[in-house]
Amino acid sequence: MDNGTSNSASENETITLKSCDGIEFHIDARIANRYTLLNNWNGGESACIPNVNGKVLEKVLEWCEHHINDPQLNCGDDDSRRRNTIIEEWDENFLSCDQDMLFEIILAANYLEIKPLLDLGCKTVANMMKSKSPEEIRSAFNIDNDYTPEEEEQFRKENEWAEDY
Amino acid sequence: MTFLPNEILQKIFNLLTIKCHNVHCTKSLFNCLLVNRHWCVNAVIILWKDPFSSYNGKKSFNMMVTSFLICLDVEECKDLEKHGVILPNYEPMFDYPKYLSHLNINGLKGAIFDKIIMKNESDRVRNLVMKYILIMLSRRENKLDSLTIRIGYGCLSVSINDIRILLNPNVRSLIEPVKKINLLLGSPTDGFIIKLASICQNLDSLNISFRNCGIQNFIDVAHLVKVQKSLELVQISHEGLFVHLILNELQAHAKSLRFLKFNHVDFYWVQTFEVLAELKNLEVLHFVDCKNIRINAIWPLITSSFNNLGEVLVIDTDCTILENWAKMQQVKVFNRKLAMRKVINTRFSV
Repeated sequence: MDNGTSNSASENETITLKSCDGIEFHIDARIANRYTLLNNWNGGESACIPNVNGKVLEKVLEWCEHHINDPQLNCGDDDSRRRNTIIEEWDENFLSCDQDMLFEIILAANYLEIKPLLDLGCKTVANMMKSKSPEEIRSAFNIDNDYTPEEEEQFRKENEWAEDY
Repeated sequence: MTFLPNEILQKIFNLLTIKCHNVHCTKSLFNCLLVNRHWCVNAVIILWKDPFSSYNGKKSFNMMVTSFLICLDVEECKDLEKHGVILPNYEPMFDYPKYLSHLNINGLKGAIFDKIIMKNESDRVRNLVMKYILIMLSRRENKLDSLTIRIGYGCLSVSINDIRILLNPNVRSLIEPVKKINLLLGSPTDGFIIKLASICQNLDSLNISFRNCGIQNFIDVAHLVKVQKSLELVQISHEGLFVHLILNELQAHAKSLRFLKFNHVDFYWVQTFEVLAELKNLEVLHFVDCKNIRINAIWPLITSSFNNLGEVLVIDTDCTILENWAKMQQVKVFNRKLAMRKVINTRFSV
């Protein structure tokens, strides 16, 4: 993540980003100053961001815009920020979307190297998993169980020490 | 469900291992492991990074040791069987030892010594099991990142004889690359720390707690600090009087040291904090519940400037001047951040 010192940009200056399905977004250049990878996609007539569709890009940019004035974090902060699962109210509401959209936002944040949004998405999913049984997790995330009963039993046995906590 | 790649799934699973009330929580991760094969592969990597810190003496930990023992090579298994250790005869689902990145030697020893199938075995056999597990770990490609050793300190403590095996030439390659050591000392170490210092010299982080320790433990730890190439974090918690011996050695890390934390430290013998004034790259400085901080001694510190200092915490000490200095530093940090934001915003709006 860039600290915004290398490029100058005014509040009125905008850059243009295009999603993979061709939707254009004109965003505050300061956002791209914070997340350098966004800058790579700036303004190219034919350049669109692969793998990120308009709906998802709109959400990602909405988050970036809301957090435009957040202080930049140094390495020490980074660890403490990642090592807790507390989520601020605005962010919690922002990610109260359907699950597919949540995962798409996480993938987009990962692809575009927007680390704070990636961390936030991961925290949200982690909080959804807490205190749920394997069956409840499968049901919550619509996942099929592809274990054979024997496999599942052996995994359970070899890792049962972790179950007590 | 949208497919999440391994790196993201592991990032999420990592968040499930955050300590609750200082205890490692693995239950949620265990549940994830049983969801399906894809989740299992990723959860196992996180779960087995530091299994022994979760050791609490419960029965199910027998299986943790067994999951390690079944990964021993054939010769080692035969040797253990000769000594009467009964090993289960099946292939493990994963090569669990290769995921270990933090070794809590006390948890390992506890889990081995409680292992039910060895209930009738002698300590000699248990030590052999420990030796084979450590040798097996040293053969794995993954490098150990951190190490916790608790000697004569609270529950699950080990004696020097229990851990001398760490100094064995066959185990050396396991602990040599370690970057972080948590050392909890409550009894004499009989030269162990000095020998450890001859092996582990690449630490970036050292967390030491002393309890009822004599001067020799402080001398040894000071040597451990001295021989490191570049320490970034030092945290000292202790009941004892000889912290000045360690402070003197921090000078060798004046350029690299960024985090320095003192908890419950008695600075009675510290004549001057001059050495702290030279740590110009400090970012975090804590004095929590510390005593006998003399004004004369602290003067070089509080008259020095630290450009990178972002967090100063001075609470429950007996030095009002230091506490006031900390408050001033916090104001400076706040103003600096505010100024930086203004500069950035001004530049944006020019």
